[in-house]
Amino acid sequence: MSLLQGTLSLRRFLVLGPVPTEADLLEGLRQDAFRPFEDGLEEERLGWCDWRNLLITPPEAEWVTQERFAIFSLRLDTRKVPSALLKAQVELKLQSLQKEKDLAFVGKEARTSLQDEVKAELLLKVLPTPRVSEVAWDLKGGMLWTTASSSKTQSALIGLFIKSFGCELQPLAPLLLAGRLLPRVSVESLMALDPFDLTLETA
Amino acid sequence: MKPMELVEQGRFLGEEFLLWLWMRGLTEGGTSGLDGDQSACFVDDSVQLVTERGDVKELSLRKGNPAESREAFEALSRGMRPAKAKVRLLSGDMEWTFTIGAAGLDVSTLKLPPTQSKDNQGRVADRLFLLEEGMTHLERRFEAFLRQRTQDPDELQERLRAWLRHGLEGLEGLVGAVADDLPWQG
Repeated sequence: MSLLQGTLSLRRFLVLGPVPTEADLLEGLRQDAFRPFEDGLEEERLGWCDWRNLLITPPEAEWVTQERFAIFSLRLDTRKVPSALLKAQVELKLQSLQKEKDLAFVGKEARTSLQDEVKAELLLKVLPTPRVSEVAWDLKGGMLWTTASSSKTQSALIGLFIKSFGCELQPLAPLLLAGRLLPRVSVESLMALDPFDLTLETA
Repeated sequence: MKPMELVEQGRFLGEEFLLWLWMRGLTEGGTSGLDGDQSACFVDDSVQLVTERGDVKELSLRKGNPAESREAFEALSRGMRPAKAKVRLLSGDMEWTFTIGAAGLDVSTLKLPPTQSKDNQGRVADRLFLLEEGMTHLERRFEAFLRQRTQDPDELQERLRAWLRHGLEGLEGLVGAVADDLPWQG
């Protein structure tokens, strides 16, 4: 599923805020480009990548601008150590520590620190699971299409978008779209409408 | 107002829009009713109905012809409302199919008309054009629905109720109103 081929699942957002210049747009993409995991306990990473290939970071300038659209992708990687494996490894380490130092008991703090150490070691061996969502930003129309379908990915997109470009994203749901299509009708008056009652007495 | 509250507040408009599309698909040959618009839009072979009342909260009607089924009309007349519907949109020799959600008007499993371009840049440009083209047809309909909804809500409510009554009585009268010579057939 992508903008390039196959079926699409799309969500549309209204972009609120000043449209960045091409230079600012590319700078935002560069500044928050996806960066792979390094040492540490981090389990999630996100950033921008090229829409053609998730390994191209930051997105290549000549492929970002497509007529009035800016096209790029949001890459969200997660990595997780299976809890059973972590527990088993910590247990073995604890046993060997107790034996080595002739301890009858290991305190909570030392136990937590050992667990973090083991987790960091194991995380280095875990391959991250990447999730890529394409973004097509209509710079002239102030609209954005994305293939991000889960609410988690959409929240990540909204957060990173405002950080990189200073623009807010609002989901283009019925009320907002209505306000855009019928500018003379206020959103308040649309909200004041009562839903139709279509229940039939005979039913 | 928070974005999710705005989505929730407008859910009923999305549900009624799906009903309006459904009704026009069966009674007006799927036309939008707008001058010069040659496109047509129909509810296709999948509808999900929901309600907060009663024993059954969700009803999925799939395959066959759910849009004209007695089950669908009975559920609607008991107050169930469409949460999702698969829609087929036709304009000239182009066809879009997709599932539209009432709450956020989000589009899933969208199948675009075929493109000719072979290179990536051309394909994306073509597909974005086709995407916008399809959504413009849908937005035009949403605008037409909103005009009727805001200008004369009582009249639209009565039309929808009459359509449901016809649907319950039998589909002969329901589809009989379709003109023989529909613009999108030309």
